[in-house]
Amino acid sequence: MRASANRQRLNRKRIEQLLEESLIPVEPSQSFVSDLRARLVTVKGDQLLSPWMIVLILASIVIFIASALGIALRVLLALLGLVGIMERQRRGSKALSA
Amino acid sequence: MTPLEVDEMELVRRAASDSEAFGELYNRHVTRIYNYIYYRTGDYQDAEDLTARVFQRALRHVVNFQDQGVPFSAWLYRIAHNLVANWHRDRSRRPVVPLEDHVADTRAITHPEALAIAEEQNRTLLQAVRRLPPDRQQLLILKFVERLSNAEIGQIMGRTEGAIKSLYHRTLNSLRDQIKIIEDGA
Repeated sequence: MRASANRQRLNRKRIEQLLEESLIPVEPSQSFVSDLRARLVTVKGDQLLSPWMIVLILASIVIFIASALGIALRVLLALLGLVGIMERQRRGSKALSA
Repeated sequence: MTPLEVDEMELVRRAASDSEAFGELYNRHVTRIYNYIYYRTGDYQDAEDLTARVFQRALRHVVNFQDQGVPFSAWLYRIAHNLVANWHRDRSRRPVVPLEDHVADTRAITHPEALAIAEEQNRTLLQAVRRLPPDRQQLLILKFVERLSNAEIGQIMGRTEGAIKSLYHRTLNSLRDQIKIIEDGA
């Protein structure tokens, strides 16, 4: 090569040596590697429908329904109690007026 | 086949339906595919873009992969090879400034003049490598960057070990001619 000051002839050995010095492995950036993996695997991945995920969703639905039913029953009982109190008061005032 | 290759074929079979298996294949091959594309294009951005496309295409078509005794990496290299060829074709249609700015690891050289010489040598060599036909570039990348044996290169390139030896010999001769042309033109 012109740049080589000693003007040594480019024989096979010299070319191989230059190739070893120049063709060195390069590392892709970590962010590129992890972002691409995420695009290929995590986002597209079928883990979203894994059995554990299904169990978790079903359990959440059951808990939600149970707590909603509990609240509805409590409200119903409170209303019935209120009606009962009002009825008793009505009967009490009727008896006094008679 | 080595136990690792058998294991890899099992991963390939699972990869069609199991994204984690494909993720493992990706982890094993992403750096070498990136290296191959980087040395064929000479640009980090293009290397990232094309590497992404290689694995997207592989994910779409892994279900069609057939075990014919060829390693999975050979299949990936073939996809990369085709995409790089398309990239060069598209690029030749649009005028772009050639990029030869890759600088090898010259950090160990501290003397400014020696550093300048080393960088110039590196630039000239890479310029000469990129003027070679694609199969010769591929051979040099697999041999010097990936440090693969002639037999492994033969498997990837679909040639016999003897054919690779012969191609390597012709490649070094062509490289010497190209270097001379570049230096005479400079």
